[in-house]
Amino acid sequence: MKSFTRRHFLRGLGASTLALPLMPSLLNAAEALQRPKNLIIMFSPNGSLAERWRPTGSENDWEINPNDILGPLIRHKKDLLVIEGVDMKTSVRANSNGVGDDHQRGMGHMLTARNLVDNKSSEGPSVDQYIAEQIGVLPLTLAIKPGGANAHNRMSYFSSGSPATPLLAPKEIFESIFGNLDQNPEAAKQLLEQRRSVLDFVKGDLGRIKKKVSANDLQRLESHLAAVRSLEQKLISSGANGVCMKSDSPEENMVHTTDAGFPETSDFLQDMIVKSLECGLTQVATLQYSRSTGGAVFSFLDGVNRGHHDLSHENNTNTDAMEQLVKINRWYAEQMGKLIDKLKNVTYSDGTTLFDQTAILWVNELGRGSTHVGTDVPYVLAGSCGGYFRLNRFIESDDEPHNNMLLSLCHAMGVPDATFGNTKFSTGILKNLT
Amino acid sequence: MRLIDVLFVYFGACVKKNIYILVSFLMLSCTGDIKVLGSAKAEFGNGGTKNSGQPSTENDGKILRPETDAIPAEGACRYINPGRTPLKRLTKLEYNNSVQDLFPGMTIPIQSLAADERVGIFEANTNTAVDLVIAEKYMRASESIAKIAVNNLSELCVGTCDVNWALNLGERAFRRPLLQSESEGLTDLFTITESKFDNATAVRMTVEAILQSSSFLYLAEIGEEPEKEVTKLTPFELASRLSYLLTGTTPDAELMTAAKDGRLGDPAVIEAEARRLLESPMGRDRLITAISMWFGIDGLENLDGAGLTREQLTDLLLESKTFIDHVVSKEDASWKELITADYGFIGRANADFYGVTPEEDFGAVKFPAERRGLLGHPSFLAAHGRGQSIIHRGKFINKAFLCVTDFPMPQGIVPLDSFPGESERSKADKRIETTEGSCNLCHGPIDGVGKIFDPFDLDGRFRTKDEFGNDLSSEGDVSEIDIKGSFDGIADLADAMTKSQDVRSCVTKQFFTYSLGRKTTISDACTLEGMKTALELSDGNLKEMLISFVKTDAFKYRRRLDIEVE
Repeated sequence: MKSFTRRHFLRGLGASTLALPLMPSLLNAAEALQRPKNLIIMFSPNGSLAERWRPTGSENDWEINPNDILGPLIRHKKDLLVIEGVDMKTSVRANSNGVGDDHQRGMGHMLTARNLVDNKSSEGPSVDQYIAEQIGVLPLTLAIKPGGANAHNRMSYFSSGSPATPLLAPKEIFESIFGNLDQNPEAAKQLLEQRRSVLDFVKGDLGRIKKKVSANDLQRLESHLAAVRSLEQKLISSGANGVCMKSDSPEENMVHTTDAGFPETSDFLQDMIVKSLECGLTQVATLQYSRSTGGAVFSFLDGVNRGHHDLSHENNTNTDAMEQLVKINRWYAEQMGKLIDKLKNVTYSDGTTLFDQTAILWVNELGRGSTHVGTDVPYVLAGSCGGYFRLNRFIESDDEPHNNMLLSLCHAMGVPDATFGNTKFSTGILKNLT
Repeated sequence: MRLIDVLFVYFGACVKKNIYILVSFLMLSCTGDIKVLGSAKAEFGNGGTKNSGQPSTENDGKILRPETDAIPAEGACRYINPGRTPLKRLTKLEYNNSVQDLFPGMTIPIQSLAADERVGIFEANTNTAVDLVIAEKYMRASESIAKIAVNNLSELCVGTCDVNWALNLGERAFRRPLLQSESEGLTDLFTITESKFDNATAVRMTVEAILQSSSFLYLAEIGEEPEKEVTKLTPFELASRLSYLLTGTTPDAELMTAAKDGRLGDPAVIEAEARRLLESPMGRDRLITAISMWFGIDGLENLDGAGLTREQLTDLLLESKTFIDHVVSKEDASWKELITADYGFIGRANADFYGVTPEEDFGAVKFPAERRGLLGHPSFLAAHGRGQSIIHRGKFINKAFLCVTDFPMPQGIVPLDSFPGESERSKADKRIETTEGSCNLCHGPIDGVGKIFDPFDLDGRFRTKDEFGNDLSSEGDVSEIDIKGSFDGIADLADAMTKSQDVRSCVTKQFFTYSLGRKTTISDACTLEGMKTALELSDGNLKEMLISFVKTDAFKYRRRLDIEVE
């Protein structure tokens, strides 16, 4: 992981102070133009069912069947860009270096378009981490029941290839985001000074030990050192954001570790993302529901009584399993709909909303669960990201590589690179999105 | 004790990724024995094959046999050939145990840290890096522990906590004498903070700094002579290795004293300390935890997706832990008994699982015929019973006990048809018999074993008919290892497993991986052979196997950093 330079950080801080929404009357047009763009990537696992996911019609004259997977998103249809036909070419076993099973490669390639190095790390950064690094913000990485640090369970990777650890516990997420905002300025200043002294010692200790380890472990310790530097910068910058409105703290009894806890936890994590964007604490967030091969049983849904992963392996002839899969995927569509609502509820004096500045991309590590294919992965994009994406369309890609989808996200966020991921497959931005 | 005086004659080294290191040098001991760290290939003579022990990620649709246990050529095991020594970061459990031991007399709540990595089926943080989220967790954990310490100053120090207290805490936390730069750093931190704020703040910040330090969070193993191709670990590093392997926590005072006195260089002392630690309460807990991970039942409390409540799950896990405790507390501490015992300890609330009511809660009872050992515990059956249980249980048995692990799902293959009310056994048989798409290659070994457990529902209850009225049977088969054949029921399978050379090899590999936090490679053949022999001679005693392991070169030595093997 590259360390955040001071310049990056100042850019991040600049953006965040401009984004403070508490004084709308002071916002002038120029400031509105400079309002930062945001990216949220939302993940649900185990592939989809194209025949129950696909809208009908043509690019501009299209419909969502209310009973299908995207049904819950009908109310946001004009804000959607549904993309079919993109292939995760890098993740096809024959195209890859062979590391990982199909689920692991799907997960590891999904946001990186690069090979896994082993069962735990990637050849390079995922698009969320990369964009955040380029625009100088610290990304927010949240998840519900993602499991431990291996390739089935991680979609977000640093430049070093190490997986990014998601935040899980509501109380901890809240503290991590807002913990330092409510102190009186003197106490906050003193705490910051003390924490920095402690971290100075910690950095010195890391510097000593890293001279004595193997090359592989050295990289791990370099990353650790960079993380401590980032932590220090985060502490400094959260102090600077002390005027941002604090959010409600999570309910004490919120359970985030059970399948039954998905709905409540999802709601809370979405609130945390929206609040972080609103307060300018970050511009890039990921929200990972479960994990590849995740077997969550959504018994809170009527008629669902089996684990998601096992259901996804059933043949189409098992109509009961197919209906359960539709219900599970509809629940995820509903979550996307709620996230859109929350972003739209943050309004500015010029009549625009936080949603207008944001793009949400809903991703999956496989095209179809039963066959484990990485072709024809189902992408749903919502929000124009400050006018970059042209919405209210259903487009069919001619088997473009998913590198291009990821590169389009970079361009939308102001990082106009020529390629993303494995250059053997990257051929530019995805056609016809803007 | 044999004092080995080493002399290396270095002939040359060629290090390239994925190419075995070609290093040859001689090592002379005072007894005249010659120890050579040879090229891995040469070491195995004709007994080795070029693929044996090589990690494989792609198998071209063929099932891999368990890693070939190349029997080292005669004399080869005189070579010192430690494999890779990855830098271990404390697991959540080790962290929490360690901080509790660093602050005796205080109750430190379990700290919320990031989920551990797994190497194979065991927790070990040896690959991924600390990122911002983990660094922040360490900061918050250290702050909450420091707060407790400051609220218990009288437990912390006699009189006032001063710089010497800070240095002493540093030494205990880092598990070795402090370097001068570390002493100076801690002294500065303490005195400057004390003069700027107050004593309590100095204590608090010292605790925070020490607990976030890499010297506390990692088990750094540099060696006595790090410039040499192979170096013995320092006595303090050995003390930490012993302590974390056998007790899951920081070395106690007695072990630290042995390290300080230089006595830990003596193999007899290493063995005596290892035996002492294994028999301590922490040692017993550690072994129970290791075995729980091996059987994949750790974390059962958090199992989702069936009719079991958290309370039931906790009780089922307690039954298994009580049983494991019972077995490892016996003198023979046999892994065979873990899978063949015809008794268990049943919680009253779970009596319906077994159809047997214990006289006292968690008292010993004789198991019904269909259950044997841990493989017949509801905890095991439920932990691996979610979803299509024949597949999940079969896959886990292959992985944990047969060391047959490489099962890639082919892409683009449509699942086989099934019909409503079809039995799981019928579906499994179709998978085993279907050669189209090579279904049979993986599902043969997976479902073959899994079928043996079919009469148990996903929660681990025994039935004679499934929910559709299909008759259930416990017939299945093993196809990949030396006990090839058909089996009827858990007892039949377990008995055969205790007689299998391949299963015994697999046991040593699992505990090796558990011990060093990495998969085995060809470099480890001698070490594994030694563990296997110890297991054989002791009739399956897991403690004796661990004792034999801590006396091996793999445990006591490491390679120089720049010739680490991948």
